[in-house]
Amino acid sequence: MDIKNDDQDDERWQQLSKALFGGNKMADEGLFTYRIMEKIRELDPVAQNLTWHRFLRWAIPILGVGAASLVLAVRAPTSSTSMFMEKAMFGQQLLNEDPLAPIFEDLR
Amino acid sequence: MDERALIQDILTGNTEAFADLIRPHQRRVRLACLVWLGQSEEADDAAQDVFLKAFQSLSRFKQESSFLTWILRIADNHCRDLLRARGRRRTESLDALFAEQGDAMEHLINRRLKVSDPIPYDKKEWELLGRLFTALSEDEREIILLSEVEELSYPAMADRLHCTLDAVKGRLKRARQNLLEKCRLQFPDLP
Repeated sequence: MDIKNDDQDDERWQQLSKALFGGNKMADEGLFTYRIMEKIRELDPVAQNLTWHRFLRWAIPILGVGAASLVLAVRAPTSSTSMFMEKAMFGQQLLNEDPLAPIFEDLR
Repeated sequence: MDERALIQDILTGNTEAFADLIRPHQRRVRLACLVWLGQSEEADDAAQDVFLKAFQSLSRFKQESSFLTWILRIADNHCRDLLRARGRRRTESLDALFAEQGDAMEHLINRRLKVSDPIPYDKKEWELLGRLFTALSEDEREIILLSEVEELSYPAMADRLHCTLDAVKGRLKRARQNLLEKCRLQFPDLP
């Protein structure tokens, strides 16, 4: 008899529990989340300017790469000109020297 | 994104991702605060503070348990502190509540029993639930909270309450029977 009563009570409790605790969500969930996030942004000054912060996180490296590319682009013609000049000057000197001269020297 | 990755994301600076931690857990945190404090607005304020505390100490969360278990412990401690600060807790007689709000209470219970899928709580129901919890003793609220909101197993409840399994079972049975009896007397049509 007791076991039967216990089973009945369990079943009834499950029903009552479902009614009292079984709500799957709250009607104002969005507002609740919004309020907490507002307070978090007040606590965290970085988060206050999050959009700007996120932009900077990407913009700084991109701007850095851009600036480096610009510097390289400006410097590249100068260095290739100087390399050309160097080649022209020293290349000429090399041409003046006969590469077979040491061999002929030995044969003599 | 799983919870672990989400927490890592927040800790590395994506503060906005914390909203994704609030959404799935707010119902249970708010319910836990409501069971402890009874008054719906006070409970919601407490639940907000609980999430703020969790955010501020997120780096100390070891992830040995789930985020929900961890935040429910924060809620538990926070509400106990509030009750201590309040000094004397507000109490309400279950009979007086049923006498005053019997129809609304019956409507709340029946509306939820008629549908198979869970339905959201509206503001009035939330206030009514709070008043119902206030009518329970502190012992009853504590054990019902662990069982129905935190959904702990008997051994886990025994561990939390530092008592034996039999003691937990006895305590839970008494709390449930008290609530059931009162509801049955008030609402004879309950299943």
